[in-house]
Amino acid sequence: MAASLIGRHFFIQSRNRRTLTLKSRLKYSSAVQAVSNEDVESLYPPVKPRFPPGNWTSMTEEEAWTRYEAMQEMTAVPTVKERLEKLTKKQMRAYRFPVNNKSVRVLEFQKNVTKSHLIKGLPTVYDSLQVDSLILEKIKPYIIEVLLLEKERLFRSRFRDIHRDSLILRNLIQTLLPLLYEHNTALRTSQVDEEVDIKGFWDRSGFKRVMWYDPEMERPKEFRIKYANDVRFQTAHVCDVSIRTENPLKEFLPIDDELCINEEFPVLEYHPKVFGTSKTDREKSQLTPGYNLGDPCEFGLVSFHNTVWLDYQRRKYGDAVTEEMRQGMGLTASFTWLLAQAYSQGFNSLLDVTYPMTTQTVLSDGQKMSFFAYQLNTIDMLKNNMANPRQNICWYTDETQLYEKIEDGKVIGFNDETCETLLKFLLMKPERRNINMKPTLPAESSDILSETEFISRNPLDLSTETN
Amino acid sequence: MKFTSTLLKHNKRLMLKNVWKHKGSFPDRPPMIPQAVLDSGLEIVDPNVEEPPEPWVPPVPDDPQFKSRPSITELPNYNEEPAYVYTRGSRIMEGSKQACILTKSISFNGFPDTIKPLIGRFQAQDQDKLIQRYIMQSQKWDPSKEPLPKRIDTANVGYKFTREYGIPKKRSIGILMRNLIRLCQSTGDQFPSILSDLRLIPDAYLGSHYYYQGKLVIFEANAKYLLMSNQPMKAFEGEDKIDESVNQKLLNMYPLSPLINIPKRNCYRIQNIAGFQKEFSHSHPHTIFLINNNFWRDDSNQAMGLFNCFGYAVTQARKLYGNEQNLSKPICVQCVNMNQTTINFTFFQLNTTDFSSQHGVKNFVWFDSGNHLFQKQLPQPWRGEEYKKTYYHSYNPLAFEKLLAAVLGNAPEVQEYLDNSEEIAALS
Repeated sequence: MAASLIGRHFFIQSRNRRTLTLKSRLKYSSAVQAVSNEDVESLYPPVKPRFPPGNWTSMTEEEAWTRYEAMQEMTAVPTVKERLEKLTKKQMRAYRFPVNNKSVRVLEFQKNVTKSHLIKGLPTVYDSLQVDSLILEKIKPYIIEVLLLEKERLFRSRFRDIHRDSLILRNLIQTLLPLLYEHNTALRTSQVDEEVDIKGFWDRSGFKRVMWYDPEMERPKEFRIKYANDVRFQTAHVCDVSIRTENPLKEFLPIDDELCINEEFPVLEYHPKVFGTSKTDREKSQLTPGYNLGDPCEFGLVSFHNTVWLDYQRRKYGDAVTEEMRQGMGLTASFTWLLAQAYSQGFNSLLDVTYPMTTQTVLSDGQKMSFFAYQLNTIDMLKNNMANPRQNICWYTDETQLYEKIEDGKVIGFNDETCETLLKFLLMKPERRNINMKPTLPAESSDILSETEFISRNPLDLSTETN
Repeated sequence: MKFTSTLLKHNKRLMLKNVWKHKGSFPDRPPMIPQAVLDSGLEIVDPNVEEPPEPWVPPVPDDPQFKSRPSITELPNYNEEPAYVYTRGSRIMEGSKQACILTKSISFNGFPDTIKPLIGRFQAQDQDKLIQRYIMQSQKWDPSKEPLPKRIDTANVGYKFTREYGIPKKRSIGILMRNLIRLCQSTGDQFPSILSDLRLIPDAYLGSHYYYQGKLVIFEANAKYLLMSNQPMKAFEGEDKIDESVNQKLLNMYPLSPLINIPKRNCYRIQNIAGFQKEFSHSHPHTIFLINNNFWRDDSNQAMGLFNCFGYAVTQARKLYGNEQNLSKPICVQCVNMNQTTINFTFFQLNTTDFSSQHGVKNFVWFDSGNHLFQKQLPQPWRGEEYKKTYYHSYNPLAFEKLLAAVLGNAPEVQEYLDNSEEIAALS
């Protein structure tokens, strides 16, 4: 109400100005205010406030009200499936936002569009987590054996050489997981995917787009076209290995932390086309977090991506550019997965997340490894940076080598620190949070874990048979 | 004079047709060359005769893009004598019977006696919950949406199904198999040898050969997963049974040759590879995992499983005993081949490598097929509203318990575990 009162006051002061029309003068006349101040039942409906409840800084009234109404409509939809259908019903052109972006110097753009902040080094949680030396000694020979098998011992036909890096990752996870069951019980009930599609879409304000255009309209030429101030981005990526658990990871930082709020975000002056994106056809937007709805393991623990494509880029552009590309890849891959997970919890670009979501990402080509940790604080990109000052945070490490080289059936220079960080990522324990994970949905949809019988033991009996 | 209308009515078309019939032929007479030209001695060229075009020559010699395909004789693996090459696609029509003749083995139904008592004795933690999750992941929860092949239902052959999008068969079976193996490995806290003694190898290659009655037969196969062990498997049957097998008779399919379904080829390599280029501490093949991405019957798939087991056993025998024909210790390999819903088991014991005749010591094979993990009812829309969706029913964990018994069958801790459990049962 405060905003509306201030607005009315402003109009009363300036009512003698010539710029105001007669209509507005009548609407905001002092007589109306005199009646509304008293507690008398008015014959007229109450005056609509200028802005809906909420923070709508640097938005026009019309924009704010349409957005508010869309939010109200979305909250009325009861299930995630229907919400996704509602969002993707309109076929529209989106900008492809590739995870493997081969254009040069696009990191600023990637940060801006995903609204994330890069920090070097891992979060403080990892410093307190100590891997027992016994576990390391137990697991080290297994890792060495996998490397030797893939690089030297196994007979692979020539076709397989191209996929060897992703094969190493897959083989590594498959041997490590059963060994780590006793140290991290969450892995026992986890779901593991290989070569799985991860797709996501979101709307980002700050880019001009034609909303509609009607050349036959009886209007002046400049009013036949309407622009909107938001653009849809679409990512699609194939993840090599991903591990999902029943419960989410802990948050790395509280959502009210200073790092999570940033009002001074860089402004991009150029069109997205410049930054290695291209437009899709007029089609439905796609979203998958690596599973279909109904899977009880909804939260991602770690995802592994191979970096084979970066070798070619390194030869082409050099180390400095490739380093940026690697950071951008880790950032977008983690963001996309978390975004899709948030959508499956009932949130979307109209209804922002109420709690931070976290995940871990490992980029590797079998020899070099780099680690990313990501915390998703907001997916509401439709609002301006002023109106929604929250930002996402991505921690990253430098690329370190797991070993130096392989010679005569021996791994030389095995790096224990890299192995330790890898184990830390796998041994990170997800915990049940004491909050409602799906606050925007009805209460019935929240207990997905209680279901244990998916297939009945009895044979099928469809008694009513029709022709 | 004026032409009458009747005269004008003359049918021009018929007239022209007639004229064309009688006078329309123009014989191509040889050209008349004047005598003066002939005398002058000039070269005379007939313009009606077309010259054949000159053969095209590439501007750059040895340009690879215009290189013609090499003939069969020029290929690197060409041999003058053709051989029988068994690959993934060659379907044995007579099934396991024909495979038994080719591998000189006697078949039994069910599990071998050493592993049979282990079925149902072990269980993984949260077994039922997790298996059902894995089934659902392989059937429903995986997000891939690829166009599936058009369906034909034998109950209503003329019915036109709409195009379906979903998880391809190969991927679906792969997910289920990978997860079931992981569930077997999760018993590592009870039986540590499953993690220390066994190694899982994805996409293992097999290149092997043998001589069946003097004819060369070659195996080329790719297993989805291969379990390797650091010690050889225990024999399924003792020496008494092996000696008895001399008197037993093999099956026969005269007048057809048992090699009838295996295609002949001239391009082949005589290999002896069981997955590895170099030596490895876990060098004994234990279990082969195959994916049945086909529409064959169980019997044909079991034949494929037997051939894979046989290929690994023969390479192993050649490695351990050289050219000895009667093996002092039999070599055992087992195979698990999976469908979307069913698991089939094959256990093979190689006693002899003498395939020149049908007499003498025989090999043994055990088939256990048609173990349903669950059943699937596909939509049949013409039968009514209720039949428009897919149903999953009749879940049965026995198939997984059989798999667990087969994988754990060779573990040294198993006997201790069984003794302890018997003691506990006796006390209670």
